[in-house]
Amino acid sequence: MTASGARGGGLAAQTRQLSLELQLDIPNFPRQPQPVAAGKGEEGVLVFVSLVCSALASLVQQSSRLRAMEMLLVFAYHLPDAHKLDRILPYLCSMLTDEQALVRAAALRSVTQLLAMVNEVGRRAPFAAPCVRSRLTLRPCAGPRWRRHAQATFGSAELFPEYLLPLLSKMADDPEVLVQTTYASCIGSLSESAFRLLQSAFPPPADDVGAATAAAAEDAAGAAGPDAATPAEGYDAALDRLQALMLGEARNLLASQDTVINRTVLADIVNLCTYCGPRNVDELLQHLITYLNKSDWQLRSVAS
Amino acid sequence: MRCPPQAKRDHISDAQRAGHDRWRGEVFPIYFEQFLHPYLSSLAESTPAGQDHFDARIDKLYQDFAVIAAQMGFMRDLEATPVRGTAGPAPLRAAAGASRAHGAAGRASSVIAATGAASSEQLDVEAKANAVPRRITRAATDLVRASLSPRAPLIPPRR
Repeated sequence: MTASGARGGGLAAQTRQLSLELQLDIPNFPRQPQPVAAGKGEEGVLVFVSLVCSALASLVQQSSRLRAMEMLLVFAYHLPDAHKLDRILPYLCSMLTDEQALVRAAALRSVTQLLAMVNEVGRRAPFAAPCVRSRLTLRPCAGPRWRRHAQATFGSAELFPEYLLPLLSKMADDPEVLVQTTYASCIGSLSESAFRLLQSAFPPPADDVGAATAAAAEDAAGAAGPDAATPAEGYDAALDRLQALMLGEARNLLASQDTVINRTVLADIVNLCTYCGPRNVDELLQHLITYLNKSDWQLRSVAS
Repeated sequence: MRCPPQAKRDHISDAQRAGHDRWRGEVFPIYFEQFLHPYLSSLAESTPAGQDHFDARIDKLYQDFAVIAAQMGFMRDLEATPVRGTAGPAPLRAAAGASRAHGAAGRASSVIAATGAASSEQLDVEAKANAVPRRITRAATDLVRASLSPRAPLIPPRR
């Protein structure tokens, strides 16, 4: 049982990786971009990114929009993480509200693939997210070094809850099944990316800094006001909030009446359970048990 | 207008005196002059204004993506062997010139124009014959490498 379960989980993970793997269809170009030396040709890539992004909103044909997003992904592969989030992500997110379902699905997939490329979140928030930016500018940046660091990366932790998830949550209620299914296949990878970004936004404090500034931190916490929290508390609060939001998204998809969407979520349910936290696994399991009574034999087979 | 970095200020003032050879590769990377500027100018000229003006531009970028990737250093195979000559005009500049000279016929992909040996129909047939993507990539790599080689049969620049 254990071996078969492990095999099943591995197969599901492989299926997810295959379905979300970057498969380019650009003439005379490899299926997947090749890693090159960092920083090589970065300036020229930024010129082409500006060119494509400026044209993206004015494109008439559906094929051109798909091609533009495909090229943006290759450019993003060769850019630093800060440029991925600052320059490319807002434009890809703007395509999530396109009138064509195919473009919406491709944009959702591209956003997921872009976020999977990001290893370390930038220190700044995307410029197209006014709520995140206002939080950054409104907060006073004072206190000892680790506190300043935590303040500066506050917007990074808010990238998913404040900017991405409000946009992505509309995908679950999309009129087209294609978009809903794409969202169901991306939700596992998105939760993994959200968790990774949150962790990089709250790096563990270095030993010397933590020991030297512990006393000063307490003074600064008292001076900053009663609502000021330590980084550990801030991380826990952000993690709880993120897990609750991701669970809400997963709940919407799991409660869908369309069994295709349910099956697609189940393909990556292991990843989703991992990042939604042990407290929320019970609720996901309840959905799995109800699937055993469904009339669709494929759903029963996947759930078992 | 003030330009804070001294090198850029000197560059601009010197370029105004038409002495830009001294600043080659100093402030901007060398491919800005050899590839980026000629290509973007040819892109602007080859996409006439109209309703689908931006669509034509994106389509041309899509078709020429292999050349852009090779010039930006995205393709590892091309980096293994240094093929670019040190002297003479860049092949893509010749291609851009040819594109300008031939008008509508010059809208073909720059890599094809640069080699001067293959037509777009030949490339399509070759692409269909090679069903394996790696073989297509290798053929494109050879095409781009031939275009970058100084011994490649270039289209003579416009007089």
